[in-house]
Formats: sequence, C-alpha cells, structure tokens
Amino acid sequence: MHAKFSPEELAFQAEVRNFLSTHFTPELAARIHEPSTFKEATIEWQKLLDNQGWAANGWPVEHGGCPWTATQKYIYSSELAAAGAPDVMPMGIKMVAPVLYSYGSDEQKARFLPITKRSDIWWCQGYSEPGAGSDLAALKTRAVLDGDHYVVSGSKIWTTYAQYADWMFCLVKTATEGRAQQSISFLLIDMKSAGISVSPIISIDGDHHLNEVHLDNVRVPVENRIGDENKGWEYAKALLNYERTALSGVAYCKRMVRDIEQLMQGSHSGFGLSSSDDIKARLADIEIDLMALEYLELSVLNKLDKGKAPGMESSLLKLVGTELQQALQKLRWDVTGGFAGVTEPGTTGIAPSEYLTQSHQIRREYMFGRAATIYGGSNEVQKNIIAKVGLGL
Amino acid sequence: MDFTLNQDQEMLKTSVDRYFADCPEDKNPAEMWAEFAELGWLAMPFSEDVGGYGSSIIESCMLTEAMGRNNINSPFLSSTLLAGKLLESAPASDIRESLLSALLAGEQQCSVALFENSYADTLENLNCKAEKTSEGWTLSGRKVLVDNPAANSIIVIAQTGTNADSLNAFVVSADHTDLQKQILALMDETQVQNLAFNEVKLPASACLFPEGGAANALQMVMNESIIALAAEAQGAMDALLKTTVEYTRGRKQFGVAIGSFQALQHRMVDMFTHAEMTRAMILRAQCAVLDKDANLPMIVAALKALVGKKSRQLAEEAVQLHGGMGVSEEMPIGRYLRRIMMIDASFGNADIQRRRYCQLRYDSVA
Ligand SMILES: Cc1cc2nc3c(=O)[nH]c(=O)nc-3n(C[C@H](O)[C@H](O)[C@H](O)COP(=O)(O)OP(=O)(O)OC[C@H]3O[C@@H](n4cnc5c(N)ncnc54)[C@H](O)[C@@H]3O)c2cc1C
Repeated sequence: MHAKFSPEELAFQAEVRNFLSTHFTPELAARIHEPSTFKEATIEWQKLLDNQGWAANGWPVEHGGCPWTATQKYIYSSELAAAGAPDVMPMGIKMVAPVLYSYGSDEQKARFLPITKRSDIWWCQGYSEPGAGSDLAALKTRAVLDGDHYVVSGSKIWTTYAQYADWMFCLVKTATEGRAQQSISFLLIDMKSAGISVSPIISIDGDHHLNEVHLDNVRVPVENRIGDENKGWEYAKALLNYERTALSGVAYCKRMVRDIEQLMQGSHSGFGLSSSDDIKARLADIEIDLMALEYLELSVLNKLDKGKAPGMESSLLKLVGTELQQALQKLRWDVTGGFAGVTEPGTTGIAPSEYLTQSHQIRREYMFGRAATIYGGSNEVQKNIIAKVGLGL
Repeated sequence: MDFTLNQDQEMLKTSVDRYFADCPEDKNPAEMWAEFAELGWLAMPFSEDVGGYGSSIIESCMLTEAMGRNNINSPFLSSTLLAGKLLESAPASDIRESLLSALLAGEQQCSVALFENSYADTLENLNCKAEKTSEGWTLSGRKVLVDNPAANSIIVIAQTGTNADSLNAFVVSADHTDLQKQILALMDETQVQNLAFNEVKLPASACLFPEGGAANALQMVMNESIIALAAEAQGAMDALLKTTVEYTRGRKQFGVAIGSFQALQHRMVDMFTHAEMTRAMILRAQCAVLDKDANLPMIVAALKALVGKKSRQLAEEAVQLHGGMGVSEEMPIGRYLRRIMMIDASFGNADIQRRRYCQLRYDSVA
C-alpha cells in the first residue's frame, strides 16, 4: 500500500495543470462569478472541458467518459480546485446522465447523452415540492396518461437554475394507490412546453439561484419517461448516492484553506486578526479533519474504482464534507474582521479598498454555503441513513 | 442583590416592546427618529443637567433588544449611546451644549469616527493626528467603518501628542468641504463610511476635552454601547428561536410535525441554552456598569465574545432547521443572520474579544 503518484500519474497531473493555466483564464473566471454572465461563461467553460474530452469524465467510456483510475479522478478534481476552476454543473452531466445511461432506452441515450455532454442543453432537477422535501416520496405532482402523453400538473420548488434550463428531469406521481415509492415515475420535461412557468426565489446571499416551477397540464410524450412506469423512485435513489459523493468538496475546502492563508499574509494583515495564533488554531482544527476526510474520500473512490456502487459511505462523505466547508466559509469570513460584510465599496477609493477584492465571494459563499447541509438530502437525513444502514439501529 | 425591574422600567419595557412590534421594517428612518424624540427615548439616557431623564444601561438595552427582535436598524446606538454619551461626558462648552440639545430633540444625528484599519483597532494604536495651530486644529489621517453616513456631525478621535492621555475628540461637521468620504453599504442594510482628512482645519472650539480625559470617557461609552449592541443580538436570537420552534411545529414531513423529531428538539434546546447564556451574561455586564465594577472592560470583552459566538451558532441552526425555507429571502431568517454577523464584527468579533479577554485576564498570570 502506498499513496505516491506514478510517473504516468505525474504526467497526467502536469497535463491537467497545463490545460487549466492556458484555458481557465482570469477573465473567464470573472465572468463565471458574475451573475449576469454566469450562464454563458459556464457553458463556454464546459465546452472547453468537453473539447479536451474531460467534461463527462465519469461516464462509461462508450458514451464519452474517461478510463480514469480513482487516482486520476482525484488528481483532476484537486487541480481544478487548485486553479479555482469550477467542475461542470452537476444536474446534467453528473445527475441525469447516470440515470440515462443506466436505465434509458437506446433512443433516449442517443438523443440526450451527446447534447448533455457538449453542454448544448442545460438541465434542472425537479424533485422537491413545497410539501415534499426530506420526505421526497410525499410528492404530489401528478402525471395522468392521455393517449401517448402524460398530462402533468403540480409545483416543484428550490429548483436550482430552472431559469436557465432547457430540460428538467422530474419525479411525478403516476399511481394513486399503493406504496408512495412504487407510484413515482421519472420524466424528462422540455422547459419550453406549454403550461410551465418559472418564478424566482431569492436566497439569503441576495442572488437568484432557486426557483419554483409550476406545471399546469403540461403535455409530456410518454417516450420521455425513463425506464418503467412507477419505478422512478428506484432510479432516483441510485442517483442520489452519486450526487452525495460529489458533495464532499474536499478540493473546494483546500482552496478555502489557501484563501485563508493568503488573507493571513501581506496586505490583508490590517484586519487585526489575520496571523494571530487563535486563527491558526482554528484553521489547524479544520485542516486536521480535512486531512482525514481526504483519505476517507480516496478510499471510497478506490472502492468505486473496483466496481462497487457507493452506499452509506456517500452519506458519510456528504456529512463531514459539508460541515468542513461551512467551518472554512465561516473562518474565511472571520479573518476579514467584518470587511466581507461590505456589499458596495463606493467609488472614491479611500483605503482600505484593497481588502474588498474578495469580499463578495467570501460573503456570498458563506451565506449560500449554509444550504450545503440542507440540499442533496439534509445532514439530519444523512445521519438517519447512517444510523439505519451503517449502525443497524 | 436584586435583578427585578422597577415600575418605571416595567412600563417603559411594555411601551418599547409594543412600539417595535408594531413598527414596519421599512419604516421611513426620519419618521421613526422623530417618533423616538417624541417618545422621549433620545433624551432618556442623559442626565437631567442636559435635559435628559437619567435612565441607565438597563433602559438603553430595552430599546436595542426590541430593535434586534424586530429587525429594525436605527442610529440610536451610534448617535445617542455612543456619540451623545461621549459629548455628555465632555466638560461644558458651547459646542457640547448646542450639539446635545439638537441630539436630544432629534434634530440632528452624530457619529463617532474611531477605527482606522479595522474593528480590531484599540485606543492605543490610533494614528489619526490633530495638530494645534494658532487658529485652532489641523486634522490628518483616515477613519474607516464610521457608522451612519447620515449623521450631521462626526466626532473624530485623534492623537494630539504621544503620551497616554493625548487622545482627544474633535467635532467635525459632516459637510466640511475638506472631508473626503466613501460610503460603504453593508450586508445588514446599514451603511458606514470611510473618511480621509488631509490637513482639515478646525476651530479651537472643535476640541471636546481641552483638559484631557477623552480616552477614559470613550472607553466607558464604548463599554456601554457594546452591552447595548449585545442586547440587540439577544433580541434577534430570541426572535430566531421563536420562529424556529413555531416553524417546526407547523411543518409536516413523514406525516408528522418535524418538531416531534428528538434530533431536532435537542438542537432547539441547544439554541435555547445559547440564548439563556447570553441573556445572563448581558445581566452580568449591566450589573458591572451599575456597580462601577473595575473589571468592566474584561466583562465586556467576555460578553462580546460569548454573544458573537452563540448568536451566530443559533442563527445558523435557525437556517438549518427551516430547510430550504431558511435560505430563502421569503423568511426573515437570513436578515437576522446578516445582522448578527455584522454585530459580531463591529467593535471586534469573537476572536478579537477572546484575545482581549486573555490579555486582561491572564497577562498578569503569565
Ligand atoms: C440551495 C438549494 C438548492 C436546491 N436545489 C434543488 C434542486 O435543484 N432540485 C430539487 O429538487 N431540490 C433542490 N433543493 C431542495 C432540497 O433537496 C430540500 O431543501 C431538502 O431535501 C430539504 O427539504 P425541505 O427544504 O423541505 O426541508 P424539510 O424537509 O422541511 O426539513 C426541515 C428541517 O427538518 C429536518 N428533518 C426533516 N426530516 C427529518 C428527520 N426525519 N429527522 C431529523 N430531521 C429531519 C431537516 O434536516 C431540516 O433541518 C435545493 C435546496 C437548497 C437549499
């Protein structure tokens, strides 16, 4: 057993680094961060990744994935995070695609996988409803068969980036009797269909990420159903585990550690907090946990590499990872001594404007970061899963 | 020992609580300020000599706590409790009497310009300079994070020399032509400003403490202001706990109210414990003021550290237990959280306060 990179792996690392330094420009980074250019810049970035063959790296090779080992996946995500480059938006490539290639028909695969991989379409996830959050099986959106169409009515909520989406993958009720879990189907819905309206929900970071999606007698062709009728729950559940493994965010945590180190040095030392011993102690506490989490994640990846499906471990990774993310977001805010609370820095340029460069990102990520323990199955729900599956309670 | 409120205080509490509970969050600030004056609140904390009612830190905290509970921003703390009380502690002068009477009547607002780099600054490391000239004073340097850009005058804290008591306070009109300003908007919907003084000329009368003593006076009014600020956080904590308990009672998942899950009940009990601990610590600090406890600075550092830490934990838990609703602006949770974060930051956050506590408490031990 060892954790050293082989010469091939080191060459791969250099390749990724080189790609990022030439393609992930500061200009592109700035446009991705800016809400008004977020969508187009994100698509542009994902297309660059796809040209390189990396956008859908987790997919089976026959659909355009990469034959990477767990180590390569680890190198890839570490390098992205080190460069501050975002991974692809999860909804399409990481969330609906595994359902498509695992349970979709050949026609569905041919129709949706290539355009998803190329980021020609933007997906959103229509699961949660006002009355069905943690208790997802309580969802009420109805799909009634009418000839070769389903007629879908109901409301979805918290739908991330539905305002940009071309398609929504959606859980709907297709039976009124029996167990809730056996009355749900998985539909792909064209967001341009008549009867769909999207209304914004502003979140506590002041931005518009979230939406309510109302469906009023929306006609969806039966051919847009994945797999069998009333089996949607099974498909969705398999996908949730993929989603959670993606949520541990070790690489993102490492980037924040670096941000904090930078804030502790140089021109920022005027905060009066920066390099003090108590801040170092707080950072060390978090970083020590992060060191363990990194190997926890690596060992799960290693297992997946050997063809095993993620199970309860994905809950564990999500739990620890999101808690550490929040601890770092909080510390990174704290080392600014409140300067990151400045939303508009004025124009006349009296010092300390130099402190304000990163303030927006630090503030927004702290505020919106509170959601990381809520979405993807809340951390309380993850604990319930671990208690049941992991501890047999 | 007696922790009960007297009858006047009880009556005041009832009317303050009612006023703020009925006050819309977007109420016009000028209108609200005029009502404060009419209700006598702007005169309340001042001695009868200057036309006030001689109330104490207890009454001041009643106001800020109610503001915190109802998410109301107001310059009451920065203008009345900090600037006004600093003016009051200065020796008699024309500028003091005229400003105080305008403040008490609600005709003007005033703000103290103290910090130069960050909220971590202490009175010992201020660099803004006031030089005595034949005509008066010349002010040079910069100030940051000065509360309430709407204030009509600013009391600038500056060094006049190099010894321990050379700190002084200078009144500068906010529309002084040589003043450079940069207004910053903060996440809690308040504003602060950065100021630059490039040899700004002031008359001799601008100096508030010609015989010295500004540092002690300032330290005292800062201590009381921090206690009032802690009370504001307390109000916000109480409101967040109440909303969270109500929400989890009403919100059903898995066929039952989520408040029936013990995992969540215990979390809300932790929130309750946080709020009771901070309430007790505020009481301790209030008593230290009223009893003229020599350890007040240490107690205030302890209070600010505790409130910063506990209020943020409580607010973060309130978000979590509301699920998606907690991160949506449709609920007031985010607004309380943002205010609590700025309260923690101002006058130095929990880390800075803990460090200050360590110095005051253990430096003689080591
Ligand atoms: C930023 C963000 C983005 C999202 N994006 C999407 C999206 O794109 N598509 C989508 O479909 N959904 C999305 N969601 C919805 C998300 O999946 C739900 O918010 C989540 O499942 C929780 O549901 P809820 O909000 O209804 O909270 P509730 O289920 O009402 O939970 C409230 C609180 O109760 C706790 N709780 C609930 N049940 C239990 C239990 N049995 N034991 C202990 N505690 C419990 C929860 O942990 C939480 O703290 C998003 C949410 C957020 C915040």
